[in-house]
Amino acid sequence: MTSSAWVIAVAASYLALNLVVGLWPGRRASASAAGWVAGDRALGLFVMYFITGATIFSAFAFLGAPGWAYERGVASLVILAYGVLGFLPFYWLGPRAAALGREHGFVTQAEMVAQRFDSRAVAGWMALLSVLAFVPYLALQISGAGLVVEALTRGAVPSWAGGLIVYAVVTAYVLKSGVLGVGWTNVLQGLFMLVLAWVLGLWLPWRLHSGVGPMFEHLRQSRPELLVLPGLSGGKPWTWLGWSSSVLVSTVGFSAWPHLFMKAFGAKDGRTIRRTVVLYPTFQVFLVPILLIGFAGVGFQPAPERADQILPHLLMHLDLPPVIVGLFCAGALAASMSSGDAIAHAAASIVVRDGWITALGKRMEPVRERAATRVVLVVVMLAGYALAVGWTGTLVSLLLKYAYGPVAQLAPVVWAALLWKRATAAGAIAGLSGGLALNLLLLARPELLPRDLHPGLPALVLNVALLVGVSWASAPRR
Amino acid sequence: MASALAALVWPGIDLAANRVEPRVLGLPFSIAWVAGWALASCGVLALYLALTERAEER
Repeated sequence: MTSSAWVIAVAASYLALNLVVGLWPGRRASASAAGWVAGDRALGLFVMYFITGATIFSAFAFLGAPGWAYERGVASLVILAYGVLGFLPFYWLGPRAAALGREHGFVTQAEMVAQRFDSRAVAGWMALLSVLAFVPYLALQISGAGLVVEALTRGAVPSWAGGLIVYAVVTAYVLKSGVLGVGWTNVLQGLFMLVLAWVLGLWLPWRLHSGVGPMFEHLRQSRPELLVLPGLSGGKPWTWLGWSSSVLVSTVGFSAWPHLFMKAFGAKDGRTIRRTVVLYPTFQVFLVPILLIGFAGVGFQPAPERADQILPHLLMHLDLPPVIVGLFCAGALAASMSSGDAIAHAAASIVVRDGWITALGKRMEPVRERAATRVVLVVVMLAGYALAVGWTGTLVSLLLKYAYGPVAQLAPVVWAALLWKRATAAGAIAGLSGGLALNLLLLARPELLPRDLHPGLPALVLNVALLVGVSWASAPRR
Repeated sequence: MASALAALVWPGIDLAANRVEPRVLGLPFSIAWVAGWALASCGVLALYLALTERAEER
């Protein structure tokens, strides 16, 4: 067998394993939407831990994060910092949301908020915003998977075909098993990513610099600026304003991501959610070896064309056994798939539940709802695929600008729905639309902002101000 | 949570952790600082969880 054939064989067996693990639990789930979307509210700690952990680590983790460390040095620690902080609010929000979900039968975030504010318009707004953020996010995962396959087969499988094959597998197990398929494949994918990250993160510094300690010693002499906080941005020192506003906006936005938040409705009980949040930082620590990979690549010759290719680039130039390359390929696919499946699953559930049923007020039988959600899932997948294949610009910048800022605008409304009794529907809508409008304006006209300030931060401030102000000014709900 | 936030944005992180020495397991201090907060938040939250659940049982 040639080395490409070995790489393909390892990656293909991994995909087949995913398919089996993903299809199996679908045999037990009830035929309702609650079964497909929320796993009949019976997910235990083990599955919840891997769902929440693996969902967050997307294609970005294996490609983007080492790229940041390689290019921007310790600025990459921002990812770890907001990851630590971002999930903490869920300790209090999650169990409340889960209790409400059990009582009223909610399976999505917007559904819960709409009931609280007694307003369909809020659900419609939230659904629209979520789906707009989800499609580019999904497209990023698909093209990430395609690029990995293309790079590691040395072009034998082009990226459009790689993305198509990988996401055909994802579509199959999500269609069949819903959130249970997502959950059990995420356990597999999460384990794979953890092992791979630690092995590569410790082995690459050893291979290239004979150890982690000597590597940083070397960096301190050759590129000291990479080790000074807050790191670099565009080759120049980054500012603390940039660092701090990024940490704040991402922390707030983190727990409001609908595909993550929804998992509260799938958990067995509040205790499970609390324990998941407690254990979550242990998953985050695995970003450390990932960042070490990027640091190990600094100064490597030949240099990669783009920073986010550093990991596949290193692997291809180190003359590794093809089985190892194949395993890496599978790990990177795991990262892409574990986010892609949750995103597609959430987007389809949101379109049907929040858009069609809640916002437009249509009724639907549980079994028909499940069928409709599956049809929408395929449509969402195709939309993501079309964007992935058709888009020629840099998708990562698109994601960071157009997805994270807007999604953070959901947070105040969700928090208020759970924690603040005096909040009103008018306040919620004013906050959401005001925050989103300012965020989009600042994205279009960045010169209005001080250098490096994250555009999501002023938008969040306006959002909260409008939410509080308009709520006080409008009549409280009886 | 407030203390973790203060330790991870300016000025806390700049004052406390903007240096390479002392090394922790070969990592520069800044990287070990942020990773340490991840582990610390896990520990503190686990303690809080244990205490509140014991209080609820009474």
